[in-house]
Amino acid sequence: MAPPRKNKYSVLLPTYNERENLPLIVWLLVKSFTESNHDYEIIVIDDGSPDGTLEVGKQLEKIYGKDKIVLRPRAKKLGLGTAYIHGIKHATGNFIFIMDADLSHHPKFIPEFIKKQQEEDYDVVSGTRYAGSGGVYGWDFKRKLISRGANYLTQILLRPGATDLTGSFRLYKKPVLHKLIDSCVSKGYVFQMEMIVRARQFNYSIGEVPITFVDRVYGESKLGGNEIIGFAKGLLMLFATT
Amino acid sequence: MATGMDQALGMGLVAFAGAIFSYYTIWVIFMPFVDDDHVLQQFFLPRFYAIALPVVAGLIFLTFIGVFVTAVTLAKKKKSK
Repeated sequence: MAPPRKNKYSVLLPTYNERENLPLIVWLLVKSFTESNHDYEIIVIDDGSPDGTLEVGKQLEKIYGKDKIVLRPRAKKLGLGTAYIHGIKHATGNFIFIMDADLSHHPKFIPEFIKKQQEEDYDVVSGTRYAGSGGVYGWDFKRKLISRGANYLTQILLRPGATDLTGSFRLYKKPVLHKLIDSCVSKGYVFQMEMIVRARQFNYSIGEVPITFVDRVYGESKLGGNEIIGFAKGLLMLFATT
Repeated sequence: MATGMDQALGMGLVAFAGAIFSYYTIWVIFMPFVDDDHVLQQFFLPRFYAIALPVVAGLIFLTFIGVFVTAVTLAKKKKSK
């Protein structure tokens, strides 16, 4: 009789110039997984970072072992969607976590994701900043207002069945992620939106976990007119096509 | 929890929106049933403005969006040249 199949969680970490953050996030991930006693691997997809992120990755590989830290670098910056595809190809887990490598997502939420997923065997578990105890730290009022306004707009137009559409801290079943990536056409964070919308389209079950998004410990991310227009275009495209 | 200042600003926005909503609702739904010489009428403009003001506000909003999109598109074209 075959032994009961244990779950293994692959964490996809696309990185670009995260030389300072990478050791921290790996340490936090390792801590979170070992404390909650789950099997895991961390797949680092570095897009040819000029700051030596890959070298840091190699050292981490030595410290934690090749089975826990998997390096899958690429020659240059090729985009998030393709990074996920590249990462999945070598993932040995049956579940995939996607998250940011710049410490805006804290690995301490990982056990909560896992618990939520097991509650109803959800196909997708999405970290939300807009429900329950979810929130954002480090944004000024204007930024928060814009974010809330944009999310409200997506709720009206798309009726997605999820409260946070542009978030990128998520847990997927591996075959589900594969199918969703194949069916998505957009890029950047509109891609994240499209993933949830397509998930609803294919009737996948979506669970939610409140998370806290911490805006960039190092450096500052800006929201310019370009991003707003890009968002609007993506939103209209999704509205028209789904 | 949001910072104190942000919470205050948020509350302020909600209160402002609530005030406008209440005023407009009373103006359009309730006031037509009140006599023309009642003291309450002096708080409300002639009903013509109940239509005119929202239309003007809507136009200004659309103009703003148009200008914004144009400005950003032009700036982007200039940068990519």
